[in-house]
Amino acid sequence: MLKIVNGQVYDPLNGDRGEVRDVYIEGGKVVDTLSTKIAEVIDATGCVVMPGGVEIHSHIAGAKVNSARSMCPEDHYDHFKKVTAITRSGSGFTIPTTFLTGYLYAQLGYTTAFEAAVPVLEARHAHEELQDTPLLDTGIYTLMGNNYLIMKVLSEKDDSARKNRLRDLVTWLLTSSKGYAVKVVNPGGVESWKWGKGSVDLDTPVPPFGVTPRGILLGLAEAIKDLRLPHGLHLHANHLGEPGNFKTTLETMYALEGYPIHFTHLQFHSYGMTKRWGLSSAASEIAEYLNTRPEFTYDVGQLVFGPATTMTSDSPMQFRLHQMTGNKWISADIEMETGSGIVPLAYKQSNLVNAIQWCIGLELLLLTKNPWQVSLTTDHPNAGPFTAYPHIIRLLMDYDFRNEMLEQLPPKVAQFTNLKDIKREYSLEEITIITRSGPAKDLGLKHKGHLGINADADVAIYRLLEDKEKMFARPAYVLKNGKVVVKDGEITQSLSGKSFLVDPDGSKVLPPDLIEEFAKYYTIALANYAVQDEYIIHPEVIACD
Amino acid sequence: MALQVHKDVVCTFCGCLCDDLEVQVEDNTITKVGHVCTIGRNKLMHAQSDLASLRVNGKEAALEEAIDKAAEILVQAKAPLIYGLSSTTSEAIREAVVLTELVQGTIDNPSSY
Amino acid sequence: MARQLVGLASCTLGEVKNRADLLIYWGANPMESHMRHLSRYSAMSKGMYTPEGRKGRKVVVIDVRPTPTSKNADIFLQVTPGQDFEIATVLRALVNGVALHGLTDNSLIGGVPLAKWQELAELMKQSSYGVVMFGIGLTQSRGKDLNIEQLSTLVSELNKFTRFYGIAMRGHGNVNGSNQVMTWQTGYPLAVNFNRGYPWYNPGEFSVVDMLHRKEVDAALIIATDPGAHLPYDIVRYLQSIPTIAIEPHKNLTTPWANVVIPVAPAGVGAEGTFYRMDNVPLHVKKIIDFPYPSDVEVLRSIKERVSNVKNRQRAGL
Repeated sequence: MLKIVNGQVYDPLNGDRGEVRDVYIEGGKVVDTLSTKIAEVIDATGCVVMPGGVEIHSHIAGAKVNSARSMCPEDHYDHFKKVTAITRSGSGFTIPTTFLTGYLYAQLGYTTAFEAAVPVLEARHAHEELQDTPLLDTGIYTLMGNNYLIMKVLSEKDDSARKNRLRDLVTWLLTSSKGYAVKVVNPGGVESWKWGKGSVDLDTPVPPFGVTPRGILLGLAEAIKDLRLPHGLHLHANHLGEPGNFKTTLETMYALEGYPIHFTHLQFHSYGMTKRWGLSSAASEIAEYLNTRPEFTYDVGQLVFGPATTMTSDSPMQFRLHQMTGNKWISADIEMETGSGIVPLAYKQSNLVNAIQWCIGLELLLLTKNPWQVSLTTDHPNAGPFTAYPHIIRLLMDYDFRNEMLEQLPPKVAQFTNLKDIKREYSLEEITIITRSGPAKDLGLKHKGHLGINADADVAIYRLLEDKEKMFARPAYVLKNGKVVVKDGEITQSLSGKSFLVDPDGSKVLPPDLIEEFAKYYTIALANYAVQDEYIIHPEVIACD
Repeated sequence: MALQVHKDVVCTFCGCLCDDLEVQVEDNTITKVGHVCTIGRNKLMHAQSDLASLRVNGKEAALEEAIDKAAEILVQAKAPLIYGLSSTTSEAIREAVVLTELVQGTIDNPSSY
Repeated sequence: MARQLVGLASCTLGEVKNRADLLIYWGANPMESHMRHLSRYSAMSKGMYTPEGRKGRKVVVIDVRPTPTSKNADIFLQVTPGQDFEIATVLRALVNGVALHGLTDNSLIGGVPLAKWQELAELMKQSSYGVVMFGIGLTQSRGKDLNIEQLSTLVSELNKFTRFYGIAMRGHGNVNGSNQVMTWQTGYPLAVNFNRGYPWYNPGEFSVVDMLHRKEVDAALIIATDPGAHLPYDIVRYLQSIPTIAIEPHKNLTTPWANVVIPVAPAGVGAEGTFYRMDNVPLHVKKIIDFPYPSDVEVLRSIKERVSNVKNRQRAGL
């Protein structure tokens, strides 16, 4: 039905490094040869042809994102999109409205995105918003790191009963929320905050059962491995943003060796400490260790200068940020499950701390030897908006440009970072890996991130330009599910994507004792808890194998 | 028709959304409501009475006619207001926003005053 | 709207039930307006760390007159109307240990001696999980948004000492859902104008009362709300003078005069869908019985299709 000709194909999974070959598409899939007549030919002469981008960690839908939108009209006033015959209107820069979010991702060549933090109790909201987020296949990560029922099961003494019950509970929470992966945010730390207690280390007992963050992590990591979930434990570790936190990060990594773990927004967790309790880079310590642990993956959470909206389930960290900046603050404790906080910010080049953070993210990316271990993210909109990806790609591919930027920072950054000494430049193949092929593999999406036979026909075609920021900011074509949805950077049609789900081999019902706990301590009926099937319009279940 | 008892029904009449109501239905008529406050019971027991009727300019009308007329009013207006949405589903609210965008009107709800 | 200036620290109702040891109802009378709130979620509920229910909690009511809710409070502070901003300001000063020059224990703030407010400030700081639930007595009285802003700041500052949260006692079943949907589709929770083809927000300009008061609207579509009962008389008079469509299950004070009345199956009884609780918890409401009418989703879609067809014809004709 459709043929892309003369393009330089970047498909690292299948060994294409810019070879000119034709790509055939039919029925929303990449096919070998066309069985029917060719109806459409896209001439990709002078272009690179890549799989559609895959966003592994972004905050784009649900209660927390929407509270941020509502709190920050100033984010929207000057950033709006008019309605057209094809597209809905919208507004927002760091926290765009749902339709605009879909369009903006597609306009960068991204065709899949995962919402990174959803409490089961509010999952219905996230799915409602994702229905209104076009042009993307999506999924959500389900929060479990401060869940009461999880901690209760973890407090059980009997080893095998505990393991079996945890496996069932993880299955039940995932299927009830229609989630894709297990997310842990500051394990134990949010529950501790609700008790008015301080931050937690790996071995701090957490009320009410006295389980430790280490226990929570090991228990969940084992359940995930056992259930063969397509994506590993998606972990926002303890002590985010604190000087010296790289020690906690490394300790957490040591504790979890051998398990499939995705460490998220690692930039925020790779901080050394100066003699005066200031921030310094510990990116090399983290990266050197990761270079020896192929089972671990991470995304970077690269900082972008300009406005950002911080939003996490890490309510104690958000409160600290509110106290430090004096900026407005939303917080929301979610019964039995988690918390969340929101603080708007602006990162400034002239601010030494921000400048060091900026360097740390780039150092991590440049010091990681195997690009399949790392995904490009800005932890949107925490470290900056995803719309900055083309800029970050240029920083990675262009040493001179990077140095120009570096020279604009306070000279003191040189004392606390090593970025200026790193000469590495990413190749187009490596960029392909960290923006689509790697995250797809990390997520266990076998039909994404490549252009082999039977891959989903999500394709991004960029005109080859010297300026990589310009090149990646305006794709010549983007195909979603085999249809052209962007041409010359403009949306040409809108369609709704699929929702990725899992169906792990555990119990789909709660055991009687937990049913009793649920009835006593939740404020909604168990029968009204699980997200109904009608909230998912185009489901696709990814096998646990 | 057999008697049906619906459990864990959500009461939609105030922001509490109590979701443990028991609603008994016989022949498509609500006959009894349990686990409910006075306001909720009253609303549910009377949900089927005092229904509005289809009207266009005071006269009885068919649904199609009323919808045509409504569309005509909105198309002809220069500054239409879409207002309310305090007691309906978010699915309906989503449709109301698209419609407002289409007629380039204003949309608001009771939380503005 | 106060949220847009300072934000708000909040929690779901289950946290109130399971943890709150101090409850303050401010300008709210749930015994009459949200009748099961106290037993299911707040003062009388028994939760995980509140097994004694009402006995284990301190309950404070701040209101302008005694109410059934205040009769069951441990402390009732009857205040003079319109003084909420001043009260919140004084409480902030007391909580933060800011000296109040020229005031003595007997000085009246909102009609209540300062010593009482001092006592409340101490209670707040000493609680381990405090929640203030504010209602229309606060949101609809003089100061409105400024009251909420000051209260939100107080709540936020209390988190330096303990956990402290605020919850707005939303009235109508899904007014929160209406804020939520408008926010994710337009970026703003209310008062949005599309005249320029994109969402344009200005509460004083595009809010219903202001627009109708200035007669800037020439037609109205009313959905699942009864302006005839809720809006000021002069505004209803103006609505009656312009073409008005009502999409509404029951006869109400708007249906007798609306130019077009389209009855629909009521949500949660004759139609299913999503509602957002006052604490943002989304729930799926069911269809229990059949109604002779379509749902408002179906009606709105039909109107949209008609309008769309006309617009397309106009566009083609140009």
